[in-house]
Amino acid sequence: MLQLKMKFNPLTNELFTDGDRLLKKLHCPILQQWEAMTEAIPAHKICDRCSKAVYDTAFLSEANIQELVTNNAQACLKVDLNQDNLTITYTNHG
Amino acid sequence: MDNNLRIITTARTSEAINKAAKDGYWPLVKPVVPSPNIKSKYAVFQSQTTGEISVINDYRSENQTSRLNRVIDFTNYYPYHFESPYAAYLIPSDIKVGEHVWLDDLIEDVVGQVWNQGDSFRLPSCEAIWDGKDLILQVRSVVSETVVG
Repeated sequence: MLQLKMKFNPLTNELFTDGDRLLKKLHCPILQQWEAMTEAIPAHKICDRCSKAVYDTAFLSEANIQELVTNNAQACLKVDLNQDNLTITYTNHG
Repeated sequence: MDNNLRIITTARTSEAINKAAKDGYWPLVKPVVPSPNIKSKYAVFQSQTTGEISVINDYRSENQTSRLNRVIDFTNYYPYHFESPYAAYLIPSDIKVGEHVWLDDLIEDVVGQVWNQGDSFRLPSCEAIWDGKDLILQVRSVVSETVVG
């Protein structure tokens, strides 16, 4: 049985569900780097520049992320192109 | 403003550039030149019964194509599309020499992200310094496979 995976388009920085529904367009106006942030708990860090929590999508399901962005449209996410729960796709969406 | 820097916008059509000129901006015109260092990849798989295709960009997606024939093997290409082969940074009339600004829509092709599958992507924005005639890009060396936002 194939594992459902989210899809990420690095041309537009859009994160989609496995069913191609848009979860969030990632945009950091200051191009802050994940590596420069302070770890708060495993699976999220605090941005040293804006003090917002940034959630690591490698540890979240589609449903978790959907709930997160529904409750807070400004929620910040982190995506690693190599994380196991997503694939990269841009030809169909970019 | 980002980082408390003034944002310099980019116009990508002659209409937008000329409107900005009439509005008092000085358009700093630059060619839009695709960089050979920026490339993405695709492969095309096709059903031999229906003819429908599936396009993938990630080697990890190949396991979803086991019932399809590979009709185009993984091939590199330049994935970005722009309206015109030229664009312009819109320089405000009160900009000072030495002023640090934020270029929200970078015209130049600078590698912003590299993926270990061989793809590389454009840097969308960066800081720059106005030297009186041109904007000097202040690009941090970024080799990252993470995106935040």
